[in-house]
Amino acid sequence: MESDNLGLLKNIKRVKVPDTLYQTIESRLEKNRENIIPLYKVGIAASFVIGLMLTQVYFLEGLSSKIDQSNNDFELVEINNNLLYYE
Amino acid sequence: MTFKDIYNQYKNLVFNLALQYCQNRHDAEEITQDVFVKVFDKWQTFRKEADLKTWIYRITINQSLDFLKHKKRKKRSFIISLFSSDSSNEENLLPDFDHPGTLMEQDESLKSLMQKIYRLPKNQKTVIILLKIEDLPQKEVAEIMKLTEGAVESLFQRAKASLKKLL
Repeated sequence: MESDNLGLLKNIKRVKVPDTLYQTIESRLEKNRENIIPLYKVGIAASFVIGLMLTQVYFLEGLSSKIDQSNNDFELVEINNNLLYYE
Repeated sequence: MTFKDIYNQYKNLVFNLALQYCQNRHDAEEITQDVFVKVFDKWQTFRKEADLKTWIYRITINQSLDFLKHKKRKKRSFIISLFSSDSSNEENLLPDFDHPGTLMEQDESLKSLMQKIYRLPKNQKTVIILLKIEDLPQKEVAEIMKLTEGAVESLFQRAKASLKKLL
């Protein structure tokens, strides 16, 4: 019974591909090509970001050393009496 | 060999094989596009010692199965959203049958058989399509499916048994 049924599959006809399909595939490939970002542009963007980060680190370092300096200055102030600060 | 040569040589093979899986002209066109885009992208990585036809068969089978999985998932979630209690109804997940190769006298019995094949597990479906519709020799099917000939034979017997249950 089932072999008879599978025999039916031999009656399936081959179908021709629509003529316009190749153009559709070509335009998809073209679109894919446009969407790919060139490597040199990725490199420029990456070096820009890294440069920005390094500049930030440089300025932050400068700022923190200034703060450290002012803290040290504050600690050097000597008090020559027995009064508390808020008195 | 240029891309256009490859397309001209294998377009009918890819389109008809995709059609056996999705049983719908529109979906088969979409799968064919995906297959050739993939062939174009992967051409550099294709190991020339493997047979080009076997390689294209494999890409088409994988692409068709992925397409069906994606479509079933979409359809299932749509059905769930409509009838949350009737989510397991497999009948609703059958393809929108529009197979131009079967539009003839035996249309109804062939349509019913094709819909049963559609419901088989993917390996069983593939073995029936390759052996009985594509009419490939067992050796070639084994090579495409990366199985031994014995495994192909036993898979085919299991597929026949599963079909018998569905008939």
